[in-house]
Amino acid sequence: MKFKAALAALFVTGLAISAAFGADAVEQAVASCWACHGAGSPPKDPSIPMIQGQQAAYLEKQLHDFRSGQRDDQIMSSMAESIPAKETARAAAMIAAMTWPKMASPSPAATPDSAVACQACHGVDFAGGPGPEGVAPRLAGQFAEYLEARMAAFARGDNSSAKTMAAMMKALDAAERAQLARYLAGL
Amino acid sequence: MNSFNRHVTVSVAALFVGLSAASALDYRGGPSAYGDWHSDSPGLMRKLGPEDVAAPLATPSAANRSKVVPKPADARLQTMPGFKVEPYATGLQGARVIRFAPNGDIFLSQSRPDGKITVIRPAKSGDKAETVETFAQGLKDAYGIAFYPPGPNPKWVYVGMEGKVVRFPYKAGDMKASGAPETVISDLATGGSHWTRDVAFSPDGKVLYVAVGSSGNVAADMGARPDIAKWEKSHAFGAAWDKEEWRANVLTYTPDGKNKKIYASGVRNCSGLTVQPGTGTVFCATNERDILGDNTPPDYVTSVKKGGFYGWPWYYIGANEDDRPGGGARPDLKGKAMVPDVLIQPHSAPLGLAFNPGGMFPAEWKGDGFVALHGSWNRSLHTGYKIVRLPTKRGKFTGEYQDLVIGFTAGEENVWGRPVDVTFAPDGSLLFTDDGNGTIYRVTYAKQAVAASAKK
Repeated sequence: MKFKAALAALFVTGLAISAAFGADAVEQAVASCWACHGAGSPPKDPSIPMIQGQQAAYLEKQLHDFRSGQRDDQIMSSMAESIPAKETARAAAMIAAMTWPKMASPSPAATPDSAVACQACHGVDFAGGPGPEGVAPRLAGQFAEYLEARMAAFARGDNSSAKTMAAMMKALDAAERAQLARYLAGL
Repeated sequence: MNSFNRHVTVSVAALFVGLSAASALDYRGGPSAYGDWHSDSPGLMRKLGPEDVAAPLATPSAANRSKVVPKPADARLQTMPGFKVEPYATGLQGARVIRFAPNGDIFLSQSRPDGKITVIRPAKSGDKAETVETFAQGLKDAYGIAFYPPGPNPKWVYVGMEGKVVRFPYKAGDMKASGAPETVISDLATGGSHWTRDVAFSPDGKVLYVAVGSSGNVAADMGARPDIAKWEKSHAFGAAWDKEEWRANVLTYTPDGKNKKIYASGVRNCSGLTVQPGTGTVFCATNERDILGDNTPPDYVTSVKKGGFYGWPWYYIGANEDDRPGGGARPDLKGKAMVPDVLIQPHSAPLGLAFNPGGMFPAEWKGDGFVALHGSWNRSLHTGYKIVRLPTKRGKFTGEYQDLVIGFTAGEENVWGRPVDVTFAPDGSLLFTDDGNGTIYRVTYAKQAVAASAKK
């Protein structure tokens, strides 16, 4: 069965049939992201993060973590596994090179005290940058619902490779995390 | 079945002699059985055969994750004439596996976010919960539940977790664990994308079955192959390796957690492991692989033979080859994979399976299988999100399945329930769990209701 040939020819998604003619397998795999993650606009579902324009090294690590199960999501595991392992960096770079899809009407919120501690790694403008556990992701303008869920997951200790984040999120209660998420989403 | 029947939707109302109100029921055999939630209808029977398996990527691979919403005001579950489906207990976040203890108490695993086992004591009326207690908590990814030894007075409750199986001391009536969990199996695989670990005992109590799903979708990251002859001798025929070692299997142990063996290999993710009452035959409800298009390959429910190889990752539904696994092809396994008993619409995600002991549902349904379909993400239009019946003839599945409870889909994006597991109450009613909105539902049947509606 010429499966890989079929994959290269046909791997597009039901919603994002952009399928640039002649695009390679990685481009096609990246094109499959936008059905859920939004094509040039924020995702429809605020529990799904914006990834276009996100930090490349962060995206690469997440794809590896989804493959290994370190980050737990059955859908993303299958999607990440569909990118050839040695092409993960290229896929991440392609997504990172795109423009961050701004929310139509962000609602600014007051700066909580806890925000200062985040800036050491996530940057003074929360655009992301190098941190002790690899590159920290951009948080500015990300969905509050997604941020809150991720912060709760860190606090639970779901991701054992992110000890700093686990410790910092455990130090906040749910209300403080929600306040922080609203602030970051409004930037 | 001839090609006419396989390709045309045929009304077979005459076959449903026991259900006189079922005159409008439809039968979809062959490729006409494929479909999404729009074609669901209580009573609709489908049958897919291995000859119907669609080519890979005959349609593009879609990503269409459902969003769970609260029940919309106008949403209603639908079921067959004479049946009723009603909420039984609510507020049970992450409700997964449900089992009746011999004394009639209900044990429920609430796998996520924190992981706990809940005990529910039914009200005398049978239609609702009277008391809900936390039996034990702090059990990350608690899933499968089994009582040991089999019979009326179990002394232990076994719980399958991602990396281990633990057991709690138990005596009839306990609603809180009387002691700390004892780890009986500590070497189950962890990581990857499949974390459910279902557990069941053989009727004689000598064998503990444990289902462990694959790490990856199709083992794309599996490394170079070992010496296959040696590997299969120390593992099993068709067993995968590297990150997939001891995965995509049904394993057996003795009840003390010793003597690990692979009972069957190549079962991608047996989320519903059930031992058939009476026969002791092992059954799996299994989720097949992703990223092959809307209608490839079917999920399945099957009896599982000792030593059987069920295809994953190199083959699916018999001899259909997949060339994505790391480590290369296994032409030596071509034609060696078992063909499952009941093929289900691809991406439906069958999870729990239970056999009807009789006592309430129509008499001719005694012994039939009932399966919860958790619902799709890797399909352009949603499918699953329902409870289906798997008819049997002389104790064996016919290969058909029938919509029993539908209606959890609310438009193309939203759903308000995701069925996980099914079990039968002592009175013969069916309970099923929903981990979308944390609800247990009860399905009842009254013959008089059918007779009354037939007279209209």
